[in-house]
Amino acid sequence: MNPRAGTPEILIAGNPNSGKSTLFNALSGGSARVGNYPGVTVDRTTATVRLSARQVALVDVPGMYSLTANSPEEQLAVDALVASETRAVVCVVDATTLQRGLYLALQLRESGVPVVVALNMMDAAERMGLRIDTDHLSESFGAPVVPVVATKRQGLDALLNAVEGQLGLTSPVDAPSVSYPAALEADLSELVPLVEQWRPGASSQQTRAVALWSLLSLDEDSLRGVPDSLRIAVQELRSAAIAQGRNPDLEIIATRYAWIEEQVSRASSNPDPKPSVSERIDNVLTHPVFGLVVFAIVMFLIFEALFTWAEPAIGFIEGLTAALQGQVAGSLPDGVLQDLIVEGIIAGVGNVIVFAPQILLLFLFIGFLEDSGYLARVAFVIDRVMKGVGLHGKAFVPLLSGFACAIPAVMATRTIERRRDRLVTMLALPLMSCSARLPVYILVVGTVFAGATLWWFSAGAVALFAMYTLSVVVTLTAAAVIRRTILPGPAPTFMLEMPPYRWPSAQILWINAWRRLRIFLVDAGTIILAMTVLLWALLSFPKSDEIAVRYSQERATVAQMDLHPDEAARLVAALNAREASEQLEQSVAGRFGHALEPVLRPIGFDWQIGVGIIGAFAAREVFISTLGVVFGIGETDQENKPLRQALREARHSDGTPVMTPLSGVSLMVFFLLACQCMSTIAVVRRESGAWKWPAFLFAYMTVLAYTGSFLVYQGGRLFGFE
Amino acid sequence: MAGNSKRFANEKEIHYQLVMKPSLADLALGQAAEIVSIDCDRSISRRLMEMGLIPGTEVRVVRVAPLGDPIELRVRDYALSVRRAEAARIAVVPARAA
Repeated sequence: MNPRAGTPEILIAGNPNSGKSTLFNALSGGSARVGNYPGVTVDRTTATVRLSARQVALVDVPGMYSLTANSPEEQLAVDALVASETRAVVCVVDATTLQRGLYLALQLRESGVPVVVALNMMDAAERMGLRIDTDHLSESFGAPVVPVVATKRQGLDALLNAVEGQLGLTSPVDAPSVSYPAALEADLSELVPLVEQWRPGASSQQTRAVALWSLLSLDEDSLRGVPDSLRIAVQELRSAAIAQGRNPDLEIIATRYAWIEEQVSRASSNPDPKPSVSERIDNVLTHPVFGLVVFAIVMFLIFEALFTWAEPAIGFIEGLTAALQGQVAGSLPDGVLQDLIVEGIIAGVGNVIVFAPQILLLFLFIGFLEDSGYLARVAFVIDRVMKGVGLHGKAFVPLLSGFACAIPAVMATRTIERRRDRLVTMLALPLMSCSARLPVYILVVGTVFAGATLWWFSAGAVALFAMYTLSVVVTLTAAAVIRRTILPGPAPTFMLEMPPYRWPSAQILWINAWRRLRIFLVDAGTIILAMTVLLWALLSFPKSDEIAVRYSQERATVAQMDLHPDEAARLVAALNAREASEQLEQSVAGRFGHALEPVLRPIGFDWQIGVGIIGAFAAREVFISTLGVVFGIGETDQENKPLRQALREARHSDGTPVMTPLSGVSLMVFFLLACQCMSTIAVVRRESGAWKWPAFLFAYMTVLAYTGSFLVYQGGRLFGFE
Repeated sequence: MAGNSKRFANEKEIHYQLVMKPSLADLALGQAAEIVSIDCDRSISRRLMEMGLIPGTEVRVVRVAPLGDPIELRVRDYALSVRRAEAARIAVVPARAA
């Protein structure tokens, strides 16, 4: 029965916000491994735990309110529960919302699987004055009920003992006897033979549970692997029932809840109810005025953290990368190998870990908001706005984070429950003007708008403001359009539990943030590293011997001249920069830039900008250092005067200047709209689970960028701008 | 308005239930009501029911978002927020004044 005898799988299931993951982490001590369910991007977190007599594998199942499934993602939980490896399920129930939690526990018991109910948050229940007779619940559900406080690690030993007890059972405990209406029982008996064909060998209890599940889940679903005969039978039974004025869904669910209400009323009492603290906190946090103020402050803090707090760490990583590059360059002989290691591999690793500070910070923040219960209030407060463009209220934090960096922002979309809503958000948010675009804006503004004014503002400030405004408008429009075209479907509904406020555990916040970072480093990191090496190769090869020989002769000439050492060094540096520029021009990327020129001219760019755009795929700010090489200036940044000068002096073949205010705006619009960021591609690949989504993202943003720049440049010319 | 229905005499209240069909979206802040029926798309109705909103269940509107939508309900000892669009399809009988 169990292919991996000795390590039976114990599933940890429960409602969202029931403290399921906290319990999982408390039991596993943070030793968990995160994998992926095949085909979909739902994390499968497992950990090995030693009981007194054997080892078991704990599996953290995605949070759910019921076993009813509508999508392949929801089906995962169901699949896991009926898998032969599953030997027992720990159903985590929040003791303060007993009925809803027990609904899931009842469904699990009906399917015949051994269940241990972990009655979590008993401390909160006691504070509310609630008394629960666990023995009665245990008897009626046919499952041990163990009170626990996961955050304080109370009751864990008793829980594991109960699990071990279930593993030692020789014969299954009978499922609770819930009696459905006679008409529904008749429907079930028609489905039973079909289920028996689908799942031969299942016990009669399991068969009955699958028949119930089918009646409740099938029809208008996108579930996999369900036989057509069963589907058709369910459809017919449902239509027949509806024609008679019956509602099978209601019959099943209402019968279950009636049974639960009866058990709960016998097993629990609250002689002296106390008002909850959450109510009072919410009176402030979702207040029409204070609510919005608190909301703005919290969002500003996230923003500030991503922009400012992360900066020293990012600078440190960049400095370390540069130092390591210098060290290695000094200790390896010049040549392709040195370049590959310095410009390809070390730069690539640097490109990956440079995101670590923002990812850690954002996930610590989101973890805090989520575990404290405020994230649900964020969605509650802002949903009205997000609804207008077909997004879920929970899309707000990822979108806002997009102003800092799309990488952590895309990863943050996993707080959105439905995959479709998650994809729409993920595909629109790279249009938010991230911080890596700013150096490009500053370079362009400094080059073409230096000292210019528009009315009583500086022209540069107006241009920057316009870029950020445009970015918000385009992002929301793109979300609305993608929702209506590529990913049509029912508008996202907003059914969100507002969990009670709780103080999060620092340890769990850290474990989760670290887990997210590790997934990024491994999964997206390898793609980013590979693309960095590829880009390096495109910008470096083929190398021209002719150019190399000519410049080494010139350097030899300089060495023979009788010059002051500083003067000689300056000349050699200038020669090196010019050599790099010439080599770049005839590399694959340089040739590609030239080949692109006919396409780039209508939007106001030339081949040099084209090469810069290719280089910028590594990261947008690399545009500047690539231009530095193209123009033979060497090391440079956005404040660099020689680069601005070189850009101003650059001429098209017909003698007209390349960088004008109009082509500058066109360039900014291009950078705003284009997906010039391989790390975004890599992280969307990781989070969407398929290459087709990053491919679509890149394609639509490139088309959008070209169209935008074309309209700006050609439109501007029509109105007589230069 | 729906919020005043609890003061209506029985006859008028029956008329009100049949003709006005009050929904969760019509309830005043803080008002309790009993669910009569849920008429959303099947998957949404099912989800609402599985979260404990069943004909006969008592609900109360405890909060309205600062921008007017969604609304927060108290049902079966927990808080659930739903948009007005969904709430409008959940028919209720407002509770009489205690």
